[in-house]
Amino acid sequence: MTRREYTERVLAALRRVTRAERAAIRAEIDAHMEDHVCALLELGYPPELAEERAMAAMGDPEEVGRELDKQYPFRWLAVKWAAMALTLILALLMLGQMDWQMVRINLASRFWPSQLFTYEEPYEFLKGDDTDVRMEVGPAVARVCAAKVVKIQPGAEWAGERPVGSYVAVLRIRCYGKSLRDLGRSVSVPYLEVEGDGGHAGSGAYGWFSFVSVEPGETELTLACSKYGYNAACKVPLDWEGAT
Amino acid sequence: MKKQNIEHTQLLVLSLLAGEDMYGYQMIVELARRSDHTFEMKEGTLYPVLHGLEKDGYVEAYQQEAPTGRMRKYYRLTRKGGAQLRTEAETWRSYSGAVNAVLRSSPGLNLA
Repeated sequence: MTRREYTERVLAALRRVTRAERAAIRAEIDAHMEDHVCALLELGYPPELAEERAMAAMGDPEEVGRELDKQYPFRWLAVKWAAMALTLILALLMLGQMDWQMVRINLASRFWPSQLFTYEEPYEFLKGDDTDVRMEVGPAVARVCAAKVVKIQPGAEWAGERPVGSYVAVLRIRCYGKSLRDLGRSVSVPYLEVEGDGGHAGSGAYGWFSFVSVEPGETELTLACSKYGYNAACKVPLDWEGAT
Repeated sequence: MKKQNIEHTQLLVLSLLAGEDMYGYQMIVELARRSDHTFEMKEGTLYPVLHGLEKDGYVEAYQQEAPTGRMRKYYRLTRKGGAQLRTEAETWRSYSGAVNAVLRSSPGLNLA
């Protein structure tokens, strides 16, 4: 065993010390053995024997390390444990905050793509609209499931500033594939005002509503989507049934 | 028994430092010299004692350059350490006095 190895064995037994304390202990023990070796050399000991004697005089390195460790308070270990506990709590909180519906949909669309486009429209007024226009945006698909024109009735708060009696196309857009929510937000209708209201769909994939002001006589809308470096566009026929 | 040994080492270290500030190896040499080599401890075990005394505030450490240019860690007795030394020395004196009294009164021993 060399002097360096001796010191390493002492330090190996230290659990509670900081990096700075460890360095100070190393320096102190090294200096002690150095002093002892120098004293023995002055007495005429050959270097090898002096080293051996100095180390033997120090005693068992593990025991020295253990005893040293006891002299240091528990604080750093406590801080370490507190940090670990805090990390665990934060991780649990994060899990609680996660959008599990989204995770489920993402996993389902990745591993069971055949079930991707099956869904049942939860909104009564959109039921029966058999619109199914699909726009491929790179790895994802934006699908328009409904494009129904409604006439704004008095007291319809959702219509915002639109005048009573004007027409609004309600587009039900659902996205499949990657980053569904992002994709939904990026679908736009060129040259027309678009307002959106996103939300969970009952099943299948993420749903998205777009409200587009339309004039009587318009039979279709052009939608565009620019995402992931892909540009896509599609034409959606409008369902005027019941609006006029 | 072991605990007592450490307590005694504490007392010895405190009394060494009452004279002058010292570094570890110097304390070992001094202890051996003053006790006529009766107290020769495993040198590594001095440091747990010193660090314990430092933690308790009985001694404080500072760095000073040795004539060889190396930095040395010196220990100095604090006011609190001085008080502790007086208490421990008193305890030791009454303890050793009691042991001596018992020994003196032993009929089998011929102690002058």
